[in-house]
Amino acid sequence: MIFWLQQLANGLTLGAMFALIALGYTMVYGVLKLINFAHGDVLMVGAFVAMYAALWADHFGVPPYFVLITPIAMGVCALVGVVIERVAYRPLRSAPRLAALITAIGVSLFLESAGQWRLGAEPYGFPELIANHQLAWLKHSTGVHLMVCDVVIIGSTVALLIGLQLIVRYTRFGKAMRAVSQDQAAARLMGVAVDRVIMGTFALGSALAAAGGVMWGMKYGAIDPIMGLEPGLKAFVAAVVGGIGNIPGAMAGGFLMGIAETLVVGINVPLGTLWGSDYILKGSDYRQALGFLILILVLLLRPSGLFGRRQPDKV
Amino acid sequence: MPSPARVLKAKILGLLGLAAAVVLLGVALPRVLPAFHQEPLALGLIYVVIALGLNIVNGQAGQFSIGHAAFAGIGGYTAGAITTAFGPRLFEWSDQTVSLSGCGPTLLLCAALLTGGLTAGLSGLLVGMPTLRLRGDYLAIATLGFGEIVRVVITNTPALGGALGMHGIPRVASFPVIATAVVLVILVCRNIATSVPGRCLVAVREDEIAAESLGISTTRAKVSAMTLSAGIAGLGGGLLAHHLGTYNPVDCSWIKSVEFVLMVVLGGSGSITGTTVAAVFLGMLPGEMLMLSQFPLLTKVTGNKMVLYSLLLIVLMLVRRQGIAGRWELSLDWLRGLGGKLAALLGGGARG
Amino acid sequence: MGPLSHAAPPERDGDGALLQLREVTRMFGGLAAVKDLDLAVPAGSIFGLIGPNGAGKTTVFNLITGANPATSGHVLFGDHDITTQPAYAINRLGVARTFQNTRLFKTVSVADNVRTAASWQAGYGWLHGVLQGLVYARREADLNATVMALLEAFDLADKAREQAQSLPYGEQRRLEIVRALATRPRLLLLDEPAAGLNATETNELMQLVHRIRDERGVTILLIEHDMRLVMGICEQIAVLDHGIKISEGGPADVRGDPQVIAAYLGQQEPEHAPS
Repeated sequence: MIFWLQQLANGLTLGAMFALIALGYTMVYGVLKLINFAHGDVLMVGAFVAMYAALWADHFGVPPYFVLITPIAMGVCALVGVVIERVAYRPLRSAPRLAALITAIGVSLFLESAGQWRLGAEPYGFPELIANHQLAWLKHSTGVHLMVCDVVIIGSTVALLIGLQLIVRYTRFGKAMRAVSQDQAAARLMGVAVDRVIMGTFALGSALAAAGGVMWGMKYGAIDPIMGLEPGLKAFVAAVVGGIGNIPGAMAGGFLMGIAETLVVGINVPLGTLWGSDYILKGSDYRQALGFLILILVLLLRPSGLFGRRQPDKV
Repeated sequence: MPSPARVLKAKILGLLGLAAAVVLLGVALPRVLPAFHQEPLALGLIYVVIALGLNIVNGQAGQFSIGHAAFAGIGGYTAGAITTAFGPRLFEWSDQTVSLSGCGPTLLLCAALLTGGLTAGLSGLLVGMPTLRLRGDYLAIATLGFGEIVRVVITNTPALGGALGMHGIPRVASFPVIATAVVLVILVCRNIATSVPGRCLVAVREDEIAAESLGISTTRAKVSAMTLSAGIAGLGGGLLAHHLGTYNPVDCSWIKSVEFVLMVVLGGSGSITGTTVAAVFLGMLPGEMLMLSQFPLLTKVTGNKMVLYSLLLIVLMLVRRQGIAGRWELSLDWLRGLGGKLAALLGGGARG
Repeated sequence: MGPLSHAAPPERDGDGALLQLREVTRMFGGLAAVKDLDLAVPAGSIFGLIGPNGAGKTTVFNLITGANPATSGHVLFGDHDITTQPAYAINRLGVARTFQNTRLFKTVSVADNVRTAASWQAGYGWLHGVLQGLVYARREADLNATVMALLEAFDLADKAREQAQSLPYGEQRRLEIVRALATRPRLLLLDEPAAGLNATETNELMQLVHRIRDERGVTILLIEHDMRLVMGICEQIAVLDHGIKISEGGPADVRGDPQVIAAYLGQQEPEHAPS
């Protein structure tokens, strides 16, 4: 029983970060019908910005609080997202989709390789943004091991998710975003400033990814220029699982992926002796492949995801 | 109506031409080229094979696969496994072997390469069948995912060398072998382009719905393209394994696949000529860059080739989406036309 | 004639309907685009399908050609039930079509557009395509002959090497029809073939359609808004409105049918209204 509670706790923490990143994918896909390959790398930028901001703050004697650093990272990354959209995606709005996809891959690779070039491939230590310790009372009462940062992660994710839902549901911008997702041409005819909406969507998505990046750094203590690859791809799978373009779906998908991964990583299946050595099928070895496996299964069995709608082709 | 005699004559002429090309590329060129350029050229030619394979799917059929490094890897590992298993036993091969001494060894290498290609082709078929009905971006992610799964599985399989890769493969893929493969693959690609299957692929690329309405099974065309494409990439992988003597799972990653995508895109999606030139160019680039170490500024900028490649991809999409050659192909007709124009120019010049 | 004459010889006289739709329905979500449609197109006829915009006419075409499956009902072509067959298989059985907005292979040459359409009949695949031996040489020669014959018959031979998209609009539409003919159909579906054509071009189109039926024995089913064309060449007409057939018969019957007039009132410009 304790085991399952622990898995749930771990899964929720991981899932929270996936959910934040998945939202960026799903929102951009909704308005542009484009998979923003570079999204995962924005989270990496966010983590590094947070690290440098914390060092800076320290330098000036300001304690690098989580609530101070995270908005800074989010703001910078919102800008980064807007720049990427403006430079790489907007000129290709009328081009065949393949061209935009290739560009997206190019941007992603550029961020990763440029990062490796200037910062090296070795991980950097992520600074302490909160007083992190184990929640002793929880351990005593239920046996579940949870750290303060886990609670902060889940808590702030929930806050951000609620904030996003409020924006999407109740603001003019949110309405405009939903209109552009449904029918860009019609929205334009209705007077919606489509370019601004797309810019805003990128800004919002990138900010959320940055938050995810900061939390990733907090949780795992180390960051490196290619850290965005794995969580980025898994968050994309989460968005597809939830139904790409569907915002609550991305949230659900994120948490599901987090729990799924936590469960698989815990698997250790002894397969007896193969090729002369004791062969144990370890779930953790295949952690990277798991996301893709789920993706391929979803795409083959239920491509519209859990909450998405089937889109028939127009002849 | 062409007579058997005429067709036979054309075929014999063609074969002679091919043989001449192989001799030129595989024997004459290495003799003439300075030693420093040989390694880069060998690598570049091997990449031509893999890139041309990708061109069938990405260029001619208009689909988008970013998993071809994995197909090459499957071919390389399979071929390498065969030669490391049978080479020492049959022909006393070791990891020091660098040349094919006679009929038997040549046959073994051919068998290994062929098996590698077939295995890769089979995996292309298995991957293609379920995924080719997915739309553009989803197909890309699915192929990327497949590539990563292959990489992870290989990394975690100690029998294949695990994360350190497979070593000790006899390095018997010398210039003549590579040249033969390149000439054959170019021929195959060209023949496909000028025949029914190639036309069907173009139709699928241009307008799938129209193609279906004209009796073309787009699914069958796409899956066939993927299978052949993967098989050719596997052949290239086998060549790579037997030229470098090793194969590493990192070379099956999606980043490596993007290198091949860049070759196809840079050369011109669908153009055999363009892809060949771009593959040779990009394949030789890292090796040639060592020469540029005399210019420290240049090396600083080109230190990480992926930075350059990714920027190149973006710039290409923004500025010249059709690549250098577009859909243009070097052909006899074009050469004749050029000859005609040249003659007119010279004739006019002489008169005036 | 060689391996290119795979299609069965066309039927001239109507010994039964070539194409039959039985209670065909197509739902999109909760909306019935086509409802309980019964249609019988006699072999060798020129059949018109008309109706106001949004009546479901192109949907009917899509149902017949397999581009969109029917929700219920049956589509019968000759002896075959093609209701659930894939689009390419239906074409190989002898049904070809053109599209409302031409779907030519734009950057491909005129000749190659037609050649691609005739390709599946050449009867060779990857093996001979790669080897390019005697089989390839013979089949390609046959293919070439067929393609050039078609282009010459329809006045497109001098533009054979030009890109399809460089042709003037009227010729593009003609090319699409010729391309469809290259698949040797017994039934040809034309989706608004006169859209965007002026009066002269429309007359030429009418002659073209007659030629195709008279010289090649192809049954024609066409969707059109241009009433002059419809009344001019169609021998039988079915009228659709909101997915339901509201009238059927010869041009005179349909023209005077009050239900048809009511359906069209306010939908079209006066010169196109049934007179």
